[in-house]
Amino acid sequence: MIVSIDYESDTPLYTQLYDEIVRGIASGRLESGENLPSVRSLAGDLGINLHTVNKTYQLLKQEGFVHIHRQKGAVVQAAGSLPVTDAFRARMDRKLESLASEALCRSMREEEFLDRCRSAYRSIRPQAKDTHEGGKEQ
Amino acid sequence: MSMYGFGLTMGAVYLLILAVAAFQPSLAPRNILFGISVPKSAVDDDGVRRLRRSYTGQVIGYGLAFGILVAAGILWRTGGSMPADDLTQWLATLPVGALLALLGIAGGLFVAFHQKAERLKREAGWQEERRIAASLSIRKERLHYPLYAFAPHLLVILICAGAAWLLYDRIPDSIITHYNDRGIPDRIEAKSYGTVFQMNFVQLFMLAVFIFVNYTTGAARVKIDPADPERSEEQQRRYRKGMSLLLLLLGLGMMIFMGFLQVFMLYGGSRMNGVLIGAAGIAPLVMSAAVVVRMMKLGKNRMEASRPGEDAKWKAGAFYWDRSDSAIFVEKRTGIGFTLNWGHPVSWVILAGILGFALIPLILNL
Repeated sequence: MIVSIDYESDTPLYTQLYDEIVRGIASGRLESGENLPSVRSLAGDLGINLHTVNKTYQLLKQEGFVHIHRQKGAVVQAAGSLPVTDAFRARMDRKLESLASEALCRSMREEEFLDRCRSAYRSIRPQAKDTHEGGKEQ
Repeated sequence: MSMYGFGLTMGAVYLLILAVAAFQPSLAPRNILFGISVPKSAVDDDGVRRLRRSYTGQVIGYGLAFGILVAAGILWRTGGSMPADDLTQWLATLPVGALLALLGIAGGLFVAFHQKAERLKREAGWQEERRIAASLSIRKERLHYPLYAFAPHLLVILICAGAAWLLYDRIPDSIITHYNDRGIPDRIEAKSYGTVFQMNFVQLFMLAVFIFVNYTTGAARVKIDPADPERSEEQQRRYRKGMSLLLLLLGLGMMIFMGFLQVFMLYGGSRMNGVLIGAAGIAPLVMSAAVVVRMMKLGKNRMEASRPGEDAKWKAGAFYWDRSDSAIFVEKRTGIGFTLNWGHPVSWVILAGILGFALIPLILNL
């Protein structure tokens, strides 16, 4: 799988790399059990600092997307195996609120806003739709 | 060797180096112009072509003029005949000096054209790439041949050393260990294990160098073009595997050639033997040259996936320096193969290691 990040974006590099890898896991392009390259080799291939990639890997581990294995390094966890936590809900709400606010300021209609949310959700993995009931916490 | 033969040999070496220097632009990635990245859409622009042509023309022009001047100078001083004693030292160093001066001329022109390319890029308003990409899966593949692929090389060394060991009694008591640059023996040593197996140590040293270069072929940074990731991933795969295979073959050719040198040194005493061994030794040398040509073909037309702000990190267009980059080995911009990131401390450790490795025999000899 290819990850690509924008060097001149306002979003920090480690966040962009985090997003790319999470997207890879969600879309199924990164499979459960697959190992990610070592911090050193990925940093070298991207031409960025070791600490940047290390920060991404730590974040991925903290959120449960990868498991750090002593020999194999960072191993991808199954896409559906993570619970929806309150912390995630809070973070998602924050992001959605800021998007909704801007949409309102630009007088985007509610239907379009919801349509865009839905198509974003489905574009990651077209066949996924709403089948991940097992991942919900309750 | 006559004055004529000497002049011909030095002239051939000079012309070979001149040719390599003149055609350097076509050994670099196609979108790199004297160390400056050019957008893919502009690689065949008139301005780009003109700069390349002009560089080649100037290297050939200045190089030939300088070479002719030096040759004329030598002819004038000597009148075309091999001079006696005191002048030979001076004559022997002059061609080497001329070769170094040629490298200086080519290097100077490269830096001048690097600046011209920079200006061309600025005036044309070519933008650098904003995105960077990397493959998460390519590192699981083997991009170079493993260590055991060098088993045949080791076998050649063992055969050479083994033969010398078995035939030790038949080797003459004095061995010519050095010829001067005109092909006349100038150092003869008594037979000893050191002199008989000297070439095998050289072979082992070269084997170590080839193993190291092969390792860098796999370990060097894999750059992926974000605009066309699949194709550039495939290009990297093909380039590296091909390079690694060619390195293996080149190494084998050189090992066998060194073996012939050893045979020549130990058993080439009689004229007929010497000629036969010399003729047979040409085969591995021709094979090695053919491999080098294949390497050039493999590297031709490849494209570099340039990074944002990367031009500024290539000092004089040829030396990569980036402290925040964790890569040690990076793909060359000036030719085929890989170079070091001089902004990384480990690169200097490697350089010191290589120099130390090469200098130890010299120091021990003193």
